[in-house]
Amino acid sequence: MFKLFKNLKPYVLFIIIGVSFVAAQGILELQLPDMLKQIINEGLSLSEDGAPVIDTAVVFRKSAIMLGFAVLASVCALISSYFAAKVAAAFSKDVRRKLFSKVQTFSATELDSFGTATLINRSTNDITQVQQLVVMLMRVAIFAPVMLIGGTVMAFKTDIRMTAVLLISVPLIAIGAVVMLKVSFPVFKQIQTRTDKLTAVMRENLTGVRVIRAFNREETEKERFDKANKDLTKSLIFAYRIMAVAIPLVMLLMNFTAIGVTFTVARGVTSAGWDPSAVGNMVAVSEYVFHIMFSILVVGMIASMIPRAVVSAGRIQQVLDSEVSIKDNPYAADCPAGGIVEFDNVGLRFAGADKFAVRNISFTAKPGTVTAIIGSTGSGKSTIVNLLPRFYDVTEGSIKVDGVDVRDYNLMQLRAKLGFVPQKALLFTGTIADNLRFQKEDASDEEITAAAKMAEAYDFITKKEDGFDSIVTQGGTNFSGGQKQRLAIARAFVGKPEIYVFDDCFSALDFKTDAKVRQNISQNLKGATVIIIAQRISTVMSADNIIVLDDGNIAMQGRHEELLKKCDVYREIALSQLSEEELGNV
Amino acid sequence: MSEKNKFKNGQAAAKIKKPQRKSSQNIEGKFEKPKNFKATLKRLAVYLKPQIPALILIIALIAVSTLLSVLAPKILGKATTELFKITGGGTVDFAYILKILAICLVLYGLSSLFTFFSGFITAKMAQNIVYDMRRQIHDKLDRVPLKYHDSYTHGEILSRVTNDIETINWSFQESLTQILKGIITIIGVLVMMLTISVWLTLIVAVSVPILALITMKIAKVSQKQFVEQQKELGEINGYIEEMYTGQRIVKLFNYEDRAQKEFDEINIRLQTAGRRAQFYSGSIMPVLKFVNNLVYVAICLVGALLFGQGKIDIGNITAFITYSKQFAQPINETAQISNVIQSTLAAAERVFEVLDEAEEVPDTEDSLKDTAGLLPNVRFEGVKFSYNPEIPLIEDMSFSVREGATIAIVGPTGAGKTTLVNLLMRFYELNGGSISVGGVRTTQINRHNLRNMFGMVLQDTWLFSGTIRENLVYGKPDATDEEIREVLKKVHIEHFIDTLPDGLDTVLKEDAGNISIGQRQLITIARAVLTDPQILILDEATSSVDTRTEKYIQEAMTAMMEGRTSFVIAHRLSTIKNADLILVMNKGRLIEQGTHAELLARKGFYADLYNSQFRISKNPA
Repeated sequence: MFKLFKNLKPYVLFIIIGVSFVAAQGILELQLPDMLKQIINEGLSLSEDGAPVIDTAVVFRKSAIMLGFAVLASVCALISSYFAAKVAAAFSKDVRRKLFSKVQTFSATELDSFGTATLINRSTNDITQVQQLVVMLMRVAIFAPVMLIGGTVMAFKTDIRMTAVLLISVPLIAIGAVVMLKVSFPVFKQIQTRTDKLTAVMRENLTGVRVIRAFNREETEKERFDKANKDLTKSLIFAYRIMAVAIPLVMLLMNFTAIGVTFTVARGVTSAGWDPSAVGNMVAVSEYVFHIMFSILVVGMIASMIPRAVVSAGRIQQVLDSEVSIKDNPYAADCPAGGIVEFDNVGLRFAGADKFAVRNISFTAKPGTVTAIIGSTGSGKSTIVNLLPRFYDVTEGSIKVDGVDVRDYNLMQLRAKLGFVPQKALLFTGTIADNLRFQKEDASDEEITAAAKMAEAYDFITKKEDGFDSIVTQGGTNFSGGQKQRLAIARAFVGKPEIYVFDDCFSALDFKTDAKVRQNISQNLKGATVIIIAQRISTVMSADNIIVLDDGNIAMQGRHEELLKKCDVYREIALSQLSEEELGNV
Repeated sequence: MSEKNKFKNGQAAAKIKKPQRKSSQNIEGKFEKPKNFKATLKRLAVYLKPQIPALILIIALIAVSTLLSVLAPKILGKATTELFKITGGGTVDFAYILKILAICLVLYGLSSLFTFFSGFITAKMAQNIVYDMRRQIHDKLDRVPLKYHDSYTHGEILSRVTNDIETINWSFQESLTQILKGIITIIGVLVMMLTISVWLTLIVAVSVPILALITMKIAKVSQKQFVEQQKELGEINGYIEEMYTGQRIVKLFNYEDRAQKEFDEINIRLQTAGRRAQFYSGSIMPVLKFVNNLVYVAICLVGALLFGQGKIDIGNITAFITYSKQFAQPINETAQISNVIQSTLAAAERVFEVLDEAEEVPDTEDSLKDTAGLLPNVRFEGVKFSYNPEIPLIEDMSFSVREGATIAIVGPTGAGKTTLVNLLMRFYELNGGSISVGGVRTTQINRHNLRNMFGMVLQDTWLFSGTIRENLVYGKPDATDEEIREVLKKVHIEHFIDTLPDGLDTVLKEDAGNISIGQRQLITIARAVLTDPQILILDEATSSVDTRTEKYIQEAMTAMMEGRTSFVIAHRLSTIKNADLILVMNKGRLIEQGTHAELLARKGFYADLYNSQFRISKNPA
């Protein structure tokens, strides 16, 4: 959990400076009550007949020193604030950067096991938490103990006789703080749970509003919500009432302590013959006592906040410590150009799973051919093609591209050979041109235009006012599903890869466009290896080799007519989509 | 447009301002401003009306408690003055000091006690107000037309119930008493200070405008930095979200290096903005403390001088130091309170926006409630509807469906198929024309009873976090166990439920994540079947289910449609071909209607759609 803070190492000097100035600030501020004591004891007194006596020179001098302390204390505070800010900002920048780089090295396994949402949270919220923690550690976490210890030292130094009351107050306030924390912790947890419940019910009522109204269940939902509302309210009232007790109690304790000090001095002066300086001392000690008790509370609060923030640190460090399962080769492999894909008895079993996701997968895809993979959902289609760019490594068998095992490639080199269009089109913030240039930053305008035309995207792009410079908003929400898909397809064309993989990306297009794009592909990508995954029989019917997947295994592979005759699975899928005669019309 | 003008070259394009990436995370704007301060404040105050007795009590308690704590320092100072007598060789009256201390004990004790009581009552008062607000919002959301729900994301509406109400909660709970206490403290302390010395009071009083000025100046600079930081934070968080979500694409296209570079740029900007924001906001406290310390020094100096002139006692000096600290606290808090009030009013405005929404036109008294006698036939006559008055959707739709018929609705995405559902169920009101069921206009049938006639199975399977049984009987709470079993058999999930350890009493996790999508769909079908509706609305789209489950779903749907008037948003060829009537929709218009054979013969849009499945597939790869 604390490992993350090793990243503070480069800033050790700044930290020391910052912390020193905080300590200095504390010590300087603690001198103020002492100066007041000196003014009273050395500058003021009463004459024998009760008239006030003042040594103006002493008073002015001491006041001037006091002023100096005050000014210096504030200067120290500002300096320490500067360094705290500097260190915190630099630290969080470093950690953020490390985290981002690390995640970029993750293979699909790590991305899956963490989940995108968690990774985002750790790179954003958790870093903010840790940053605030650093600031707090460099300032308040130093200041409070300094005031606590310094205040005690000053109190003892000034007049230890009057500090007896602390023997009662300090334990009381310490116990009080602990009891408070112990009692409030479960209450706050309960509030969290009940708030979550309320939010959950509310969210359900919103997402299911149609169903609720369709089934006329508004009243039931009202009751559900009301119960959650009542429960939460009860917890909140309880929590706030605890605070209503705690705060006045603490104030009372502090005030009683001040009274206690006065009482001790009164006894000392009247019964124990203390000398007049006791009065000035009392004024100072009263203030020190206040600082001591307040600091105990602050230390308690910090102690309760640190665990929460440190949990964030642990989460970040967990990501940084993860072992990446797919290791890259630093050197490029010697490989010819080409685009031959060979799957040799490939099997993949995910970590922690009993069953193989896919097994005994063998096929070859050659340049200039179209290989189609079809099967019902969950049969393993996407898994197979995810193996090609090494998102996962095979458990059995091997995958070769142009005769070289994919594991022997440098990842950049391997992926440069691929043009991948995944199932769900994902575009990035920027212009259309930026997105199309995603693989090839220096692609020329002609290359982009050509790609757009091939993907049947040219028309709708040029119809827009800014054409290729049109903005794509986050997630591509300003385009329709079909348009997004076509842009994703165009993006793959720009890099002019040797091997194309279209992972069920045509289903977002209507039949007409689907057919046209495939026609463009067959006309223009004559030398490339094309692998298409689809659910529509109409998409795969004309492929050179159709691989039929069933439950992770190849049921059969071949051409359409053959499969129709010999493969049950294929026929079943085909018949569920088209009629007999339509299938015959090839 | 000429080729050249269609886009600038890559270099120039980079200079075009990129759209701001916004993080989807809720970065709360700390410096929100309400649109109408006075009006919102007044409206918020209305919530206090029913709590007036409690409020009066709270005010009284706070007043007394504050006044007591304001009296104490001066009285305690008398003890110090008495003790100071020994500097002149005089005797100290111990009994007198004891009396003073006892009085102070009582003052402080009572003050704390009353503070406790006020807090005790405030907790209930504030939470009751907030309870009411939540309830009001929930009730309102029940009464607003579906149009409202469709216009806002769930997140936005949810945030009003959670975040905004939380902000308001805090204000009623803390800020209210804080302000009350602050005002009484300031007045009380001022009075007490004046009874001691006008000159010293002036010193303390003068510090106020100085503090205010400094705080405002720093706050201005600090706010600018804060806004800058929030902007960069939003930018980087948005970037991280994008890159992580699209990590596979990034890898596939070897974008990692460029991503790292872009990230570093934003990161460095964030570092600078963050450092500045942190420094400025962190410098407010030291500066405030400095002014307070200056006042402290001034009091010591001037107090000593006044003592020398015999104008005040020594105890007055110590009392004054306490008073200046007591005075400073609410003043220091003023800046924060101002922000809190602004945020609260802004939050309240958002809540009131919801509460002010127009509600659905209620059913009239004489609306038809007994639908048993109505035949399940449906007629659309000249129906006109659009979500947005400027974008026409359905212009003039007319068709007629006899009881027991199956109507398939086909068309490309966005054609208006789900709109039909919205209109049938009277989720939205028509702009023109009429829809009749069993010969009676839907506007004249009580909504509840109208909806009871329909059974709905949509693509989006909504189940709530209750037991499977509770979900199944959602439309028919009084269903018997036999009826439930019967339905489970029909829909082919009886076996699956029996394999669950708790069977029908299995609790579905929030958003029903512990059963597969296919099974969820089957449960929603069962739910609809259980209500034995007269008219069915089905969306056939089944994605991401395995072939076997898909078969079950298809069989269940087919069985459900037997003999029932069914509106099916069709995805399967067999459904379309066997339908009694096909409604072909495109861009919200009903362009063709007829049977499959009729439409093919017409060689229109439908025929085109249907045939395009085959034409190109004849080409060799």
